[in-house]
Amino acid sequence: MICLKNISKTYGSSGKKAVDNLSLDVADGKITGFIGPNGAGKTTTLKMITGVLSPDEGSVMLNGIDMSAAPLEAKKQFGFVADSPDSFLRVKGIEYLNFMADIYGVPTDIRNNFIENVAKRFEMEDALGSRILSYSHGMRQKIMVMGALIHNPSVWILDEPLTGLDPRSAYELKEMMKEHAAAGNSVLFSTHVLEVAEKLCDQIAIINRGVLMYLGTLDDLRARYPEQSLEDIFLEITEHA
Amino acid sequence: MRNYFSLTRFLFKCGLGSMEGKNKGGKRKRFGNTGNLVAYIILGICMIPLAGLLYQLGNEGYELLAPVGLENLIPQLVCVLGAMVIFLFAVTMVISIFYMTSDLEALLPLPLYPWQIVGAKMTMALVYEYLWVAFFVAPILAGYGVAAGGGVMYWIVAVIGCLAFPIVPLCYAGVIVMVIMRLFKGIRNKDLLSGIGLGFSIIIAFGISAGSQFFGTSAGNGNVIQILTDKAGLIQAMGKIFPNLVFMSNSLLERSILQILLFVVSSLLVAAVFLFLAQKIYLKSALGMSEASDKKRVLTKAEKAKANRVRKPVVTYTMIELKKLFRTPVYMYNCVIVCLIWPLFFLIPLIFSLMASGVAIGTLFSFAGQGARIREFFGGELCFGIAALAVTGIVTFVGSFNMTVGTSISREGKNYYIMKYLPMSYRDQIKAKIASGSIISVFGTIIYIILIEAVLIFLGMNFLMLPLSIILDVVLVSFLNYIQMFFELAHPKLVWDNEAMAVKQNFHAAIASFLGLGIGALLCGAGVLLRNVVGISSYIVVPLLLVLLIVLTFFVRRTMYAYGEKCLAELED
Repeated sequence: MICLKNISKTYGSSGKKAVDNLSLDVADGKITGFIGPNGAGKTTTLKMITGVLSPDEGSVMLNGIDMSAAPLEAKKQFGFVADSPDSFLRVKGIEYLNFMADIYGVPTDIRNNFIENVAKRFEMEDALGSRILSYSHGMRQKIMVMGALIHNPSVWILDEPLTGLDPRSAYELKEMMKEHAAAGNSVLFSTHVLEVAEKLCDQIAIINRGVLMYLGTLDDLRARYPEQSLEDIFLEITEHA
Repeated sequence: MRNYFSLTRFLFKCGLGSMEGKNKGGKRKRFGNTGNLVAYIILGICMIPLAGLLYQLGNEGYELLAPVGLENLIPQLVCVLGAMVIFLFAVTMVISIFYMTSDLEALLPLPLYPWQIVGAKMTMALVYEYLWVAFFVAPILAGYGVAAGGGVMYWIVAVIGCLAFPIVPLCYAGVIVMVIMRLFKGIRNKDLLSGIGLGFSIIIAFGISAGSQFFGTSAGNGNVIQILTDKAGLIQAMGKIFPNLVFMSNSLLERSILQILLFVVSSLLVAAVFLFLAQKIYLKSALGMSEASDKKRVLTKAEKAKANRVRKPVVTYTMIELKKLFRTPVYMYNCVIVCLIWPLFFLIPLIFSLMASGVAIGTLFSFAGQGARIREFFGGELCFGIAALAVTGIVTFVGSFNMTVGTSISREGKNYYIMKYLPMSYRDQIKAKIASGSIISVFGTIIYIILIEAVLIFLGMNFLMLPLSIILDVVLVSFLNYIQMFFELAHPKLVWDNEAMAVKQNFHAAIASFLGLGIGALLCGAGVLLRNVVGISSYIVVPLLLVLLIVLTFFVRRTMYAYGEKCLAELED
């Protein structure tokens, strides 16, 4: 579970808030889609949840653990996939996965099974022995997803995870997200693709200019804006912010 | 031509944009544009003594050679050697600018002629070569001109000549590289190219060092005239590689505008031919460049079992740091290689100096018959102190120039955020980064130190020197790395376009290196003072200073970790 209470973040000396008094709960057993235009504050919010940024105000709790009070314990609760998969490029895929497994303390048998199964699912078996630098964008995305999930975290935080994935891999990841939520865990992911949010999410959070515009189910959103597509609803909400 | 000028302007802006102070420090005070400007000014000032020496070379060279009528050799020599050195450096520069930059993939699909892309990049390379001309060729010609009473015409032709000087060597390098890239597809791999270019640079550096040592010793022995007379034919043969250099040397000797115009026109003709060739072959030579080529295959059970072993977080982090270092050519050459090949920096000049002096290596063994006196010397406390000095000097040199720790956070670049979300304390991450640097420094010194000490102990030195040396090595390396980490934590350079910028254009890492050298010098100085001035025996001074160093290291370590945890916690976009 993720609990954000009144978090704010200001960048630079201008005083402009990238995130303004945002409160958001991502409940267990749900997939929450985080939607917003470019520069809305999605990545800033995700960075505050993962400890990359410290909020100027408010609190971040992961499975009841306060990120500011017990950061190491809080960081063990989630697996994070950033929007850019271009890290650890000089390292082989298998080395990266084992690095992540060591950091998170994953035993040998569990990591062996995970790597075997997920590599097969993502069709990455023959790529693990190669350096990530030689991977295509989609393959890099897949290895980052594998690295983030190797310790089976209860909370998944993914920043535009489907970008660059081929249809089969995108399907597999979506299935994994559904299975994970169905097992009583939390998934929070940001996306620009409204159709994905429509098909996958149990609840959506729409953010614009650092302010949470809507949090709830899609059904409730459609009820508020009858006879409009999700795209039209999104444009209307973000236009009138 | 409009596209050529636009592209050239744009590439310069991109290249010079790296000079701007874009260090990301978040809440920390930024160093800013001023800092980088100051750094470049200081660098320029540091080059002035070298330029001064070269000026003296040209000036005194004329004074030396004029009485025997050989003063004309100086412009010829400067032109030929200058062109050769520019050519050699141009090879690595062409590889880097033509094939390694990240803008290539963006430029290739644009509606630009290949000659426009190559022309713009060549112009960039030309400007960089002018720095070489300004600090190495121009001072010699200036010294020569002053001594020869050049007059206004001399200075006019010298300035024009210097401006056109790098064109032909650059074009030669460009053609050779393009042809090789066109013919050999297997070489179109950025990592391989980077490795070749950097290896080439090291060979050139050693060559220049050896050559200057040889020539310097010969000059000291008064053999200069003999060498120049003997090698005149060689110089002329080398000059045939750049046939239009005769116009430049003649223009300097005869103060002839016609000759210099011929030089400029012939250089521009060569440039035109080069651009014509570039139009034909550059695109085909550049397409298909890959970042890395790894054959895809399924790992065997044994390979998986080996890879999937559980390791402690600090150990695995250290191993990942080392792998990234060794597998990135730029980091490998700038951080690691120095620590492994440093003995060559001393051996090569020594060998060439001995060759120039005419001293046979065999004469050194003539001392073998002086057994008792040798044992008396090496067994004394003076030699004990000298050995400790030597170890301190070696470790300080290697430890200071090992930039592994001093660039450990900078090398993360835009991926620094990974350090923030991993469930590993900042203290442990810093520990792992320091460990990676320490392993390299200790590995690069301990083997040589043990070998040298073993020989010295065999010759009669107190055996305690060996364990003392090992402890000194480890403690001093740690101390130097903690200092480097202090600077790195305060001002990591996280914004860079290519990996070279993280290590080469890292001002703070350079300051930390020099500070390390200064501390090593202070340590040696203190030892010498205590022994020679205060009169304390080396057998007491060496352990005393070692204990002091251990205490200092402990204090610096504690402070650094506390500071480091705070810095990393505050590090943000």
